[in-house]
Amino acid sequence: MARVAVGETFAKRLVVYHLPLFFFVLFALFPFYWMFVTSIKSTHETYNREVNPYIPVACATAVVEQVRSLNFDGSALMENCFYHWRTLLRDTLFIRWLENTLLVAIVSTFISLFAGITSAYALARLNFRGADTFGVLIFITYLVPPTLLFIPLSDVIGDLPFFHLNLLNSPWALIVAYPTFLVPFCTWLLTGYFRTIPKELEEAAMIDGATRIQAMIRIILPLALPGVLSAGMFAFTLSANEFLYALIFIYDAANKTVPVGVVSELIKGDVFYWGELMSGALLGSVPVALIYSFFVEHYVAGMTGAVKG
Amino acid sequence: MTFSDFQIVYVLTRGGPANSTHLFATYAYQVAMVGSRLGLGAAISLFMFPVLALVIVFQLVYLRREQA
Repeated sequence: MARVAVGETFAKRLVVYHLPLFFFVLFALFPFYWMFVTSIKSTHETYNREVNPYIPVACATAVVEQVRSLNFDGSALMENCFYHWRTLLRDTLFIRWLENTLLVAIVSTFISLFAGITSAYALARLNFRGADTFGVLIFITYLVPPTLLFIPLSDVIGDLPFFHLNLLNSPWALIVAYPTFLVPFCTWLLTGYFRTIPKELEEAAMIDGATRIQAMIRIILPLALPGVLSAGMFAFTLSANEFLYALIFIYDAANKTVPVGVVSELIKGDVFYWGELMSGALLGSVPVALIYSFFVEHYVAGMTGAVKG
Repeated sequence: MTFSDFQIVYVLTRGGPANSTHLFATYAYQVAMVGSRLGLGAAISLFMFPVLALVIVFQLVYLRREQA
């Protein structure tokens, strides 16, 4: 235990680090627990005020019973625990929404990364006239929220300039709409990152005979990978969670994305299908949370913008 | 920015009961998309613009100062 400072006992570390961390983790993970518990309760149990809301009684008893008798019974588990999950996956269009969300998020993330990398490189490296003004203008477009743009944009998407296409009600509407906020975001993030990479590296490459494009692709891009990864992750989550454009541009239930589909198809007037809503929310949020925890080191490096060594 | 928020209000109350919990964004949606009066809705959402412009100016000034 070389890193423990003198006088720092286990008890002190417990109080100073682990206890606050424990409460913080509890606070952060509670929504997930709540979603899970609600998704495996029966509707009757969800609305019953007499039982402890933190424990899914019917499901827990079924599981305990099966473990005790060592007698696995899938259909009983299905009825007691995963009834809402089955309804969500079988009787609603949730899988379609998941596919639509993935398609839209992945395609628009790649478009914005491409545009963002090239424009950020230009802004950070090529000292052309008006580069600063361009940077400021891109920053301004990033700050104008979708809530201000959605009415004119719905007009544009309904009759795309030059192509005269009506994209409303297709995933392509979202694929062309999301870069309006993703490209400025990626550009802004990556400009800062490219600036932290020493100029000398690509100058050396260009002295050795590389063109600027080659220097950018072979030298700068690999060094900027943490920044590119975090920009891509952010762009992916932003487009997967986007609500307003997805609500306005898509009418058919089969073409919706997860956030809009869950809200518009699982809430009918005053009736909330809580079990399905919660399992849908869980299925929609857990993959993103997993990706984040998987890439967290890159992501931190991307935020601090450091090239080591 | 909470000032231009749409999602939370739309999911929780849809601006109701009796239009009492609208923000600019949700009211603009209500008028333009639900009521299909596009022009009026655009005018409502444009009311956010002066405040947003101020915010943008402050952010830019702050950014410039940090860089210098």
